[in-house]
Amino acid sequence: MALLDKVELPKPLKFTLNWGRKYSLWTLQFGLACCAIEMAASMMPRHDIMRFGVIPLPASPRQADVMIVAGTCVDKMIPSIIRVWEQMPEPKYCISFGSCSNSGGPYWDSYAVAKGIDQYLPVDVYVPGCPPRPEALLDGIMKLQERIQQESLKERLSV
Amino acid sequence: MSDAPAAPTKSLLDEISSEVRALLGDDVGDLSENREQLILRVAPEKRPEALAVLKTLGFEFYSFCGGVDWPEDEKLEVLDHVFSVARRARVTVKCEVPRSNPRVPTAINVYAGSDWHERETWELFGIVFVGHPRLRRLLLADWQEGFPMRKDEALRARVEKPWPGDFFSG
Amino acid sequence: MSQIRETATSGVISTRGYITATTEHDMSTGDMVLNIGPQHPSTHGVLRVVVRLDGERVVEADPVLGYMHRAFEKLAEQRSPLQNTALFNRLDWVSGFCNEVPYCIACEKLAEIEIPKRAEVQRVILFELTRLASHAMFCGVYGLELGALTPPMYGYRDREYALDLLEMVTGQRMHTNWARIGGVKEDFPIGFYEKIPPILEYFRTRIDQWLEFLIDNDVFVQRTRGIGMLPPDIALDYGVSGPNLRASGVSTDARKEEDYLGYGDYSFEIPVGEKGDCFDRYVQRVREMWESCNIIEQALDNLPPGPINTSVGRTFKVPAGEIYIRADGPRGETGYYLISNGGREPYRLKIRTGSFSNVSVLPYLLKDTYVPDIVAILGSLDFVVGDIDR
Repeated sequence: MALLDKVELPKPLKFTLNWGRKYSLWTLQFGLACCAIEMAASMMPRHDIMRFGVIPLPASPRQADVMIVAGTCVDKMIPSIIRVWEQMPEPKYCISFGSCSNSGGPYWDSYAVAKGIDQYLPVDVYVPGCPPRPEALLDGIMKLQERIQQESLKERLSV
Repeated sequence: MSDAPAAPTKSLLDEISSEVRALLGDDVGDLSENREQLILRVAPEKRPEALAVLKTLGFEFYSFCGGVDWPEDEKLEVLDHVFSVARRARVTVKCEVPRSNPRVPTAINVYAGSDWHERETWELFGIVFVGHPRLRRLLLADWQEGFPMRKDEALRARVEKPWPGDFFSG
Repeated sequence: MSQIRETATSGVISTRGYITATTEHDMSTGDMVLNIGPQHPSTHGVLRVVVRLDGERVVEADPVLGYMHRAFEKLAEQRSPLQNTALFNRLDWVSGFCNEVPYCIACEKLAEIEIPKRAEVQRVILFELTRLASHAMFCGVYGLELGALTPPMYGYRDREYALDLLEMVTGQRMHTNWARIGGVKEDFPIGFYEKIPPILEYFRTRIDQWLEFLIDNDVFVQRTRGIGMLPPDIALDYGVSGPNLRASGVSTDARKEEDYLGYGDYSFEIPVGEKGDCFDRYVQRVREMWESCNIIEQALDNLPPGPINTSVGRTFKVPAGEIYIRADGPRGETGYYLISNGGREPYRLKIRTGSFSNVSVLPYLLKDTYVPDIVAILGSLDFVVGDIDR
């Protein structure tokens, strides 16, 4: 990793590295609320996220690549979310799943709810819905994979 | 086999009313029937006694404790709802406290389940339950100010305030 | 922190493998505070439990709530009845329809509206289907709590069949938002009646398999029998309700005690447990799935023709008054104490949820248990954090 933020890789190597990274994502479930049930349903036999290379359950945040924030982000929980995000090593991505973590959702006027997790974390993919179907999560993962394929690690890590 | 569910009959509620009056006597502020439940109003100091009397009459199931804010009348109200499995009847016990000094004795020695309900009512309305061993926050965050469920606290999303996500500066 | 003096024996193990000489020396130990959650794979959501441990034994447990507190009661005061039904789906988010129904009944009873019989029966069918979906998920996820990785696959697969039926009617899998004041939103679609009996047949065979799957498993039985015993008087004192209370031996069900949704027309039993341990709570929910299948079948046979909604109009205002309506949901008793002053929004709506009272008994249940039993007991209570924190 000490090399990758200084050197722009040649195209075949960059292609292979990104191809390997995008098809071996390890997602940390930050299943907070109702969207957690649909996220879990996407890992179960009917929708099966494993066929995209995404393995659902890492043992700890330190081993995860993607954090799927699924559910309402209540103000009391935000320090925990930020702490878990900081525990993840680079390169890391965030998917905001459901309208509560996109923008506050149906509780936008509540006194205890954060209006979207993108006020605190950099979000890559927003999946709308309340709750989104598991197929929507699969679509979001595919869009993230397209993004990863185009990515240049030098630009990402040298900032 | 099914036994048809029945709303508690008037005679059952009358029977319970007379038993309650016999045991509580003058402490009963008002005892009336309202849509298949009994509503018992007592003075705030008599709340644990009223609940203890109900418990001896078979109302062992402690359902909830909540608060209501009546700003025009300058008072807060404490509701306790109990249920009797054997007799299939429900009673709501109501106490009124002034908004300037909302203090009610705790019912934790009568029903152990009132512990969490009283903590929640305190933090949302500001009603102090005297005698509760550890009256501390249950649902709200430490930095939350005020008593949110009172009517004069507006939902602040509709009012501008400084950004709450500023955990890292200062 | 208390100082507990313990004695330890250290021995010399001979080459034959048995202890030949022992010496005793004093060790001093203290209590340790362990924080479980709020982000933890097995706390069913964002529940944080702070336990004080003496070695492996729990001395004191203190659940910390509030990580999903979205202020439903305050929001309900700002929303019209139609918006409120959409909101209350998200209370017990595993079984969405079961939360809307008591609120609609409360408004209807205050306004003294009779809903058509067809709407009542349709509500019962959807209610019990949601209960099937919820209990199927519980049976699967409880195996996951104890370390078995296959049961959740089976549980979610069965849940998908029930969700297919719900989606066919309401268009949504989880937050159905289908009950309206005056009935339900629309009639069942064409082809729905033919779809239900095969799925009920499937669920009945699956229920037998659920009973064999885990009950004959020695590991499961040892991890759940005798663990987390909840005596009935303690359960009543704390307000525990639903399958947890019935597993402790108290025969009570709001479906039999309250006159709502015409449950008196159906004949079903209330299974009751004996000891109130985790095993009983698991078996209780499997047996309730069986009863739900019976109720749905009877309801389908009794579906009368007619309208499905007595239209109340967009400018519906709930008349002044107060009422408490409760329903027996999969988590326990969901009740709404509605105080209305004649406006469109409720003046005060106190939501009494099953999970809040179920989890309040945790400090009692977790005393003097071992650390691995914490997860077994938490899972067997089958709570949903949205229901607790509202």
